[in-house]
Amino acid sequence: MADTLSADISTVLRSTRAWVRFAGTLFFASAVLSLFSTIDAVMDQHLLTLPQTSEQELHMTAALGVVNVIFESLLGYCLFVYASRVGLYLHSGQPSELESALNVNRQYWKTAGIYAVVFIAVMLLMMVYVVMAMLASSQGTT
Amino acid sequence: MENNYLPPKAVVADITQVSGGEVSHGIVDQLRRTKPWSLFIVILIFIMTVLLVLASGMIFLGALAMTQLEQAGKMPSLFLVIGLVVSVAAVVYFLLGLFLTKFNSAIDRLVMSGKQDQLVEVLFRQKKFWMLASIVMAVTLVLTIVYYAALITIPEVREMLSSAASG
Repeated sequence: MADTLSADISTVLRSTRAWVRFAGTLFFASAVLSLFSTIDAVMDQHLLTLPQTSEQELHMTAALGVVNVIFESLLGYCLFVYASRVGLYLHSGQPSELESALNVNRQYWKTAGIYAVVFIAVMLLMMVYVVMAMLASSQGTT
Repeated sequence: MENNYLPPKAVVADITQVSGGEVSHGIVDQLRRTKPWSLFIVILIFIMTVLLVLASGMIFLGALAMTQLEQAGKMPSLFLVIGLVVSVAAVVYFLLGLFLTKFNSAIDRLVMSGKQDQLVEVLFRQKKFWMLASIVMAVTLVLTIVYYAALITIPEVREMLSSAASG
């Protein structure tokens, strides 16, 4: 196995690192926005006491917001660690550092996959809840 | 003399020790283990693309139907704008899925060959994906901030949304 990797790899990784760090920053910014929008949505539903708002609906909005904030922060963190590990590889040129960076890259995709599964599950739960609430209200009116 | 009775050997790089211009087993293994997760995301992206295409089609049909109504007012043009935004989102999702598919295919080729030029290809595909994803994320974030700014500074927008939410 080769002890050193070609200069092309370093060149590509140098430009990738900038984009990955930028994406990580955007994930953190998105997490902050998600936090504010969740607080805004919960406060709106709570203060305006919209006719169709129930306590469960409030909890579901909050749950979805918390899931978004946690996973967006995690994804941002993964990307920052990936960028810093790429930086270590660019500094040392050791293939073991690149392996370590790619391990974090793998963890990013794994976290993104789990986020997608959790998000879809929460959305399905919300849809089931809405359908059940509609059925309950239609039975109440008849 | 060559022994014709030896069993065939796998020539897949991640289980065969190779040398000279090759990539280490650890690097190939990390990327090989990354692929199922990125493939899962690709599938979700393409499902989302199909849903967005269907949604935009329905919105355009709705706009077309509204033009027949006399009391529709500005609704058809509003629907057209929404349909256009959804169509753009569908194109962006398709491109993201395409870039990620190319990244996955490059991983397959790296696992098969174990060559450094294939690793360059994998990393290049990844860079292209992150470029597009970052730009899309930045635009989405800016639009979200503009939306919230409009919500805070323009009272009519907030009133309109509140009345729409309360039916």
